[in-house]
This record gives sequence, C-alpha cells and structure tokens, in this order.
Amino acid sequence: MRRIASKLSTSDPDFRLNDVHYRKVVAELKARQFAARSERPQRDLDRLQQQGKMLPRERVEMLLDPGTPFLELSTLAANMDYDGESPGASAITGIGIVAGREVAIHADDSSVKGGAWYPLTIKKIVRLLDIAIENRLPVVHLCDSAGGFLQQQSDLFADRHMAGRIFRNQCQLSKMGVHQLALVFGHCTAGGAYVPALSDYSVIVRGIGAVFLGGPPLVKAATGEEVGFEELGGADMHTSVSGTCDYAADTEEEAIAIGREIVAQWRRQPRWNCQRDSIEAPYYDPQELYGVIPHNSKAIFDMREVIARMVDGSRFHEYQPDYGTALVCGYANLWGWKVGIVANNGVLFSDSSLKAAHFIELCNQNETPLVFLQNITGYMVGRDYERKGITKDGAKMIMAQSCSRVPKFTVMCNASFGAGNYGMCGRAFDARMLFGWPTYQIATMGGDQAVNTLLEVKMRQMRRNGEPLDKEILARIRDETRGAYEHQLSAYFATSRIWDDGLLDPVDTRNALGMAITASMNAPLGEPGYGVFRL
Amino acid sequence: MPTVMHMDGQEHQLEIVARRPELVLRVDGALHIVRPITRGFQLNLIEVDGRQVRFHAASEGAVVHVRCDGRSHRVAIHDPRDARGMVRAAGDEIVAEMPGTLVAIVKAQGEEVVAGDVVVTIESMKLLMNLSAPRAGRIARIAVELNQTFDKGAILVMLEPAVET
Repeated sequence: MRRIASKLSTSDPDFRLNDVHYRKVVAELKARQFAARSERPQRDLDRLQQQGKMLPRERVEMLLDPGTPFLELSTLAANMDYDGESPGASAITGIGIVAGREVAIHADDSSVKGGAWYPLTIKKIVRLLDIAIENRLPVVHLCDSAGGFLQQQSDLFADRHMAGRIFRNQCQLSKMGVHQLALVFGHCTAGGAYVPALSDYSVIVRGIGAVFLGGPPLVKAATGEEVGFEELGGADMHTSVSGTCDYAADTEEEAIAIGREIVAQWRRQPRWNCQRDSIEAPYYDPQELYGVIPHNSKAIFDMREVIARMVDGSRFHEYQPDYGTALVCGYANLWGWKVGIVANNGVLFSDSSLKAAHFIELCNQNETPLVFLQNITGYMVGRDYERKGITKDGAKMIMAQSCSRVPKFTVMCNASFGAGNYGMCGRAFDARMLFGWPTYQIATMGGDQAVNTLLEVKMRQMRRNGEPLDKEILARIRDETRGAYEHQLSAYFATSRIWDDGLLDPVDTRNALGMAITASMNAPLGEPGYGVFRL
Repeated sequence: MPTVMHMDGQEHQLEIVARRPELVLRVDGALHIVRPITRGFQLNLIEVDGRQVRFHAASEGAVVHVRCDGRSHRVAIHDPRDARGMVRAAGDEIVAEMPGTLVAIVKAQGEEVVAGDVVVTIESMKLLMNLSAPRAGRIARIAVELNQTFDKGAILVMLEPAVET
C-alpha cells in the first residue's frame, strides 16, 4: 500500500490556528473527564473511608493487569443530565485485560449517592453488556450499588431496555458460553442481588458485602423480623449456607486476587481469523490531527489527512479515487488489522452513495471490518438530485451498511446530520463501538436549516389562515429553535445520553479503534446476505 | 514505468522486468537477476547475479537504511504514481458543482493566481468549500456577487484566456 502524501504544511497559519484551537478543546475535554472520574464531595469520600472501602477506580486499577490499557467507555455519560449529580452516570465501564484475557468491566460508583442506579446508569450498564454479547467478551462486575434511584423509578424499571435488561443480558451471555464474575463489595439489594446471582462465579467480601432481595429495614417493615445484614445476606451465610455466592474474602484486595485467579481459569475465545500484518506506527504524527481539524466547524477538510494520521504507516489503498469523490473509500491497516475505511469528504451524492454501497459489499466479501469516519451534513437535496434518484441511491448505501456481516466501527469526527448519520453507520446501526471527537455535532438537520424550515411552515400556515404575518411569533420561533438546537447539537449533550461510547481526544482514536477491533475478533462474523436493493 | 530510487543522494532508475521464474531488475539500464536463498531463517541473504549478498535493512519513515558489504546506504523510493497530477482538463472557469451561496471572494478581479490558489468560498448543505483556480492566470471576472445564491452548473469565476507561448 502506498503512503498518503499529506498536502498540509504544519507551518501554515491556518494549521497553526487550528492547532491552538483544538488543543484548548482537548484541554477542556480532559478537565471534564478528570472531574467526572475523580472530583467528589469530601463527605462521600469520608463515608467510603469510614466503611473501610476502596474507591471504585482503585478496584478497577487493582483488577487490571499492570501496564495494560483500559478502554473506558462513556466517561461523560450524564454530564448534562440530573443537574450534573451523577458523574459518569455513577458507573465505570470499559474493556481491559485481566489475567491476559480481554474482559468487559462494570463497576458501580459508590462514591456517588451510594452507587444508586439512575436511568442513565442502567443504560450504560446495558450498553456494556450489549458490547459483551456482540463481541463475546467475558464480564467482571464490581458490585457496590444501593439499587435503583427511587426518585426516578418510572424511567428505570419497566421498559424493554431498562433495569431488567441487565439481568436478561446476563442470562444471554451465560447461554452463549461467555463467562461472568461478580465481586461483591457492597450491598446488592433487590434487583441488584441478581447481578451476582446470575454471574457464573461470585466472590463476596466479609463485613461489607451482602446480597439479599430485601435489606434489614425492608424485612422489618414487611414481617417485623429483626435481623442484621451479615446474618441476612453476608459473606459467610451465602458461601457456606445458601450457596448464592462462591468464595468469601476477608478484604477487597483478597476478593480481587481470587477474582483474577478465577478469570485465569477461563478458556480463551477462539478468534475469528482476520487478516493481520505486522504493526507500523503512522508516518504522520497523530498529534497533527489538531491542526487538520478546522477551527470553523463548517469548513470542509480532506479526510485523507485524518486517515494519514490514524493508520499503519499512513498507508492507504484508495478505492475508486476519481469516482464519487465526496466520499473516500479504501483499505488500510490499523494496529496490523486490515480495515475498510469509509470517510466523508463532503455531501453524499448519488455517485458517492453507490460507491459506498459497492465498497461495503467488497469488504463483506473480503471479510474486512469497516471503519466509518463521519463528517456528513447530509445527502444532497433538490429537484435535479431527486430526479436522479438520490433517495434510492442513499437507500442502497443504508441497506448494504445495515446488512453488513463484518464488524463496524464509527467515529464522529465533525458533523453527523440527517440521513447521512444513517448511511454512515450511526448509533442505530449497531456499530460495535461508536466514538466521538469533542467538537462533533449531531442532529436531524443543522440549526439554521431547522429554524428556516420551521419559519417557512409557520408562515405558510399564517397565510393559509388569512392571518397577517406576526413578526413577534416568528422571532420567538426563531430564537427558541436556535437556542434548543445549539444546546442539543453538542458532543457533550450526545455523550451525556450515551448516543456514543465516549468522547476521544482525536490523537487516541487509533488506540481506541485498535482495542475495539481486537475485541471484535472474539465473535464470529454475522450472517451473510442483504435485503432488496432498490435499483 | 521506471521507479526513481534515491541512494546516498544519487538518482537511479529502477524497473522490474520480470517476476517469474526469477526476479529480473533493470537498474540504470543494466539487468540483474535476484534470487532468495532459503537457508534456515536467514531471510536477509539473497543472490544477485550469482553472488551471495548479505544485508540488513531498517526503515525510518520513508527512508530505508541498508547495510551490505560493510557499507551503509540511505535509500528512498519515489513511486511514479505519486507524481501523477490530476487528470482533469484545466479550463478557463470555475463552475459550481452544486447549488449554493458565494460567501467569500479571496482573489479579486485582475489578480494573478497559480493553479490550486483558493479564489472563492461557497456554502452549500452547511459546508464551506474553497474553490481553487484550475490553472495559472489572471482573474477576468467573479460572476456571482457576494452572498448571492447560484444554481448547479453556474459559472462562478472566469480566468483571462491563456496566452499561447
């Protein structure tokens, strides 16, 4: 494969301006991530210390193999919800290496309201278990949660993807032969009790860990029986009498050591036999991505410059370089894995949609994982384009993408608007992992377009009703719509609701994708075949 | 199409004449036959025109450092395909490939440009796009006013006709 020849000069004033701008963006991202990970009210930290408990992150650190990377997911979940009261949505999730095996990790964050589950906490845990199912990754649960946050019970209990889904997914994992281990560091009450009960293995810590359907206060209220928590559901009772848990440990450290030993017994998943070459660092420094991304989010940029700073040796075999040029397609290696890249270089037209559909089919034929780099403001609109079938050509791209049997990965690099989000493997299309850069914007359409569309509709309605055009009403619609859009467009809003698996410093994209692709190799390819392409 | 190889500052023409049954290279007009020698795991041993050559190679970005016969060489290969320019004909006009609005004029009427210079910026479908000069010349006219919309196929910029030399 040939090396991409960058057309950018790092001494160009625009490059320097972009670089300065993006470094500020990344500094803000890191500050927000640090706060979500580590900043807690002193009283919460004191309470954990009084209970003799480790911080949830210290547990994760102790569980992981030394010197191995941890791909943390959705660090900024809930950052714009619940008035910021649930940093990281009160849970830590991610993929890491334990006893030489890739595992998915779910840790309740007991440093926030006793680890109580908010609606977004549940969404985050369910997403991690979905990742475990899709990639056949064993799971380690670090349990320390007060249970569902009762003030929000109507948003976390009854629906298909709410709390029950955690336990449903646990059962499915076990049925698929994917192991799960629960380490019980706190009280697992009511629904939470099923996390260890449905895990294939469980370890419980004496004195702090407990598992029961109803805690002592509820038992007293229900039947009048007075019983202490150790007796009701403590470590020794469960490991020697009820058999609900398997191993008792005296300390958290011991529980983690036993847990690591258990994981070390698990057979490794056979890996799907994907092509792998020797690994090569990118020829162009990924740090230069800061200068590549324009400080004006509307300005177009050449996605080849991004690919050059992400893939092995900056080498890229471009497919159809002179056809449908608003889309860049081609093969590259990423941490040695062969991938097919689909990247936007502008609006999607009929030709670029057809090129995408064809290239996606090639990757499926060739069993090559797909990486989508989104900077898409939409499919082209207008009379000429509709007459040429832009809608049905876009449908072909969506059909090919949606029915792909190879693993897919998506990075939201800049814009993700309208149906372009669908064609380019947005959240609804089951990318194994979907990451975003901190400046990405996502919505059905751009703010200006939404304002003008709504104004147009309102003016027509006024004319139809024979009313005079009320400038005040129109101005209010404009301001309200624009305000709502600006707020909702941002990456922080999107990641708060877990529309992605987390925001990345662009420099880390290569590493995050490398881990995601490696993890995906644990699962076999999907079923081949497509639906009906509208030709 | 021969590949250009730079070795220790000298330029050499390198061409693959045959790959089978054995590799035949033409270097600066002279033919050479290259064969691998399979002897255990010694991969850095080849036969060139019947003579055994042991070498070590390490790459540093685009440059490969090769050591053989007690000397070190710096080698860089230039793929002729990289030098090939765009195959599009360079016309006298910049034509709109999609409908949009003209939002910036970077080079005004009468200014000199070289091929690739940004002349105007347009906005369409929420994107700002820089349109560049298809060839060197002088701007004859910017055909659309600032902030005016235009249709697909509209001529946005005209260059003065090229002078035959």
